[in-house]
Amino acid sequence: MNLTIVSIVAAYLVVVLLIGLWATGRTKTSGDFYIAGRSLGVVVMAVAVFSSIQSGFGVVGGTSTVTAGGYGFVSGVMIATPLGFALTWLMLGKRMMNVGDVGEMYTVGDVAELRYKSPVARGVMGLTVALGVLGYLGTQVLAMGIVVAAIFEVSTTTGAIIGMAVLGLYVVGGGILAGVYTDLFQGVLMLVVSFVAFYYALESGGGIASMTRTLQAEAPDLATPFGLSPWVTIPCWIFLFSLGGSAQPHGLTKFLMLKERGSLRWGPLISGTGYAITTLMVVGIGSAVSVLTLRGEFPAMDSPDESFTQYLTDFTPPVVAGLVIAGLLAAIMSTGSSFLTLGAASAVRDIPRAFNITVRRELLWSRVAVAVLLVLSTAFALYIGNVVALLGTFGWGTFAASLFPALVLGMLWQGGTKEAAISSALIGIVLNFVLEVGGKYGWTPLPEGVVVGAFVFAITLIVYIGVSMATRGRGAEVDPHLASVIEGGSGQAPVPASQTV
Amino acid sequence: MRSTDRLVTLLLVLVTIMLVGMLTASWRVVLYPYLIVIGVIILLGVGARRRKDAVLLGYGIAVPVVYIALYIWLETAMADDPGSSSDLVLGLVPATAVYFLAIWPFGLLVAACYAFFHRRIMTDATTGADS
Repeated sequence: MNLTIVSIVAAYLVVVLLIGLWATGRTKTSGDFYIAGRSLGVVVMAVAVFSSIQSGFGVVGGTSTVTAGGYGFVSGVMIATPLGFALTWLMLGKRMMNVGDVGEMYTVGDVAELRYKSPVARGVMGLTVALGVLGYLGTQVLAMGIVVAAIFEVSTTTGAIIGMAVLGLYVVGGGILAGVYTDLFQGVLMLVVSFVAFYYALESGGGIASMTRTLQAEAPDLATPFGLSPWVTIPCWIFLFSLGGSAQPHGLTKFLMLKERGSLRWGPLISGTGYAITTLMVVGIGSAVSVLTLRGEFPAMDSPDESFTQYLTDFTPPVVAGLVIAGLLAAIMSTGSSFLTLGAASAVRDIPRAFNITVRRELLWSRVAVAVLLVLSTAFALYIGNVVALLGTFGWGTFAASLFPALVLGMLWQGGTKEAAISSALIGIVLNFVLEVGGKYGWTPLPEGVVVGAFVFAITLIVYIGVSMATRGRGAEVDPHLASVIEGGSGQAPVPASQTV
Repeated sequence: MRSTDRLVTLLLVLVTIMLVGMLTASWRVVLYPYLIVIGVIILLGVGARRRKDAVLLGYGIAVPVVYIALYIWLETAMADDPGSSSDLVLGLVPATAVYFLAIWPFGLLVAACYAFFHRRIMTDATTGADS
């Protein structure tokens, strides 16, 4: 146990707890708990979006993928995501803010019910979020366990419990308000440590040109933009992570939290630049470990997943290692906090309302739901970790396939119907699950390299548009206010020409 | 047929082609239609303003055109053993340099354009008033 690293990480944990304490004092209603009382400015919201999207999977998993397979993961996933922020703001920014003016719009289920006038659509969206939350939270628990255990020299189980206890202390009290302000702190921390980590990575590899020459000499494919990834994987990832990014509920619901329309302006540039900067840490450490391994200067690892922490402890000063590990914890916790409030929203608001049940004292029950989710997800992850890992792998793909057609395309096109929304979402859940589970057991009907999430996303888009065309005119029309929002209007009823001066 | 319906129909066609690309493991048949999808999404995103505002219409057309040009440039750089080039660009092999120094920043430029066109995008597409 290195005292410097432990002190820095402990200081980081104290800061997030203090932010949580402050947010708890300001959380008076369920509106505060779920959408921060629509009080956010652009910097807080945009940094919170990128830091909640950049998870432990992106940092640790991305680094190990670069170490083992070259730049393909970066070229496909991490370069597509900043473009995704621009597309998300274009598609949803103004529309979600205008929808938020209608009334109590706190969740994706609220938006789905307004859009399709269907409690069933709300319930299906709530179910999708609940399933994804289980997977995402479970993977955050496992990642947190490994990181905390490495720092404090405790068991992985104890590490996970410590990490989740800290997360719980600030989310139970302060809800999303605590989540977004800790995200702001965590996002800024990630930006700083990413630059530092990138600098050290290049230094230890002898500079970019020297690193490239080593790769060219020992494994030339690792120097190319697609690395060892099958080439068809790259456009699949680009499609899934740029367009599908707009359907991730931890980003999507943050538009409901903005206080004014002017705040939208710089949002995608702040989120995209922030995410791109954190990618430097992944590219830098991943390629440095790869190069150092080829030169025989890196210790043997049991798994490429160890490359991130192993590099920090062996090749950077303790202060840098402490800061970067705190940044990694920030990536894990910022994603975890968003998913805790999303899970609570599904359990307390969306699923009950789908059965026409309105929960009284929503704020109290939301806090209870967060606490229950914490305990369940920790127990679930620690005792049936293989199931959690399985759920975690298809979280992003399931959200893209099941939420994008109904909630994103549905907000751009009046022709989408509730039958299409429900069928595409259900097909997205089932097909993702079947293909991912099948893949784990050796059943791979798709050609090698095709990403399951991208394939299912394409199918649900086709289903949504096709079913909408087939069922058009059968159900209720979109109300005029929403129709105006979908066309890019303000949602205000147009003033008849006869009443204008 | 309304223009939004036409764009959604085009989206359906493009995504169907992408699905065929996935089933045949043809990366170009997935990539290039998707680059056009990006333009369709931008045009859907700006809403009815695309019919009145040539700048926003141009934004939706220019982004896929530039992306296609960049990926054709990448394909040129990737022809013949891309990992072995002796000429490095800022320490990277040319194909990786195209990806990291041109395609990556272009995504951020698309976001910068959103900020630049913000007032136009926020204008109420149905009335022309500030939204």
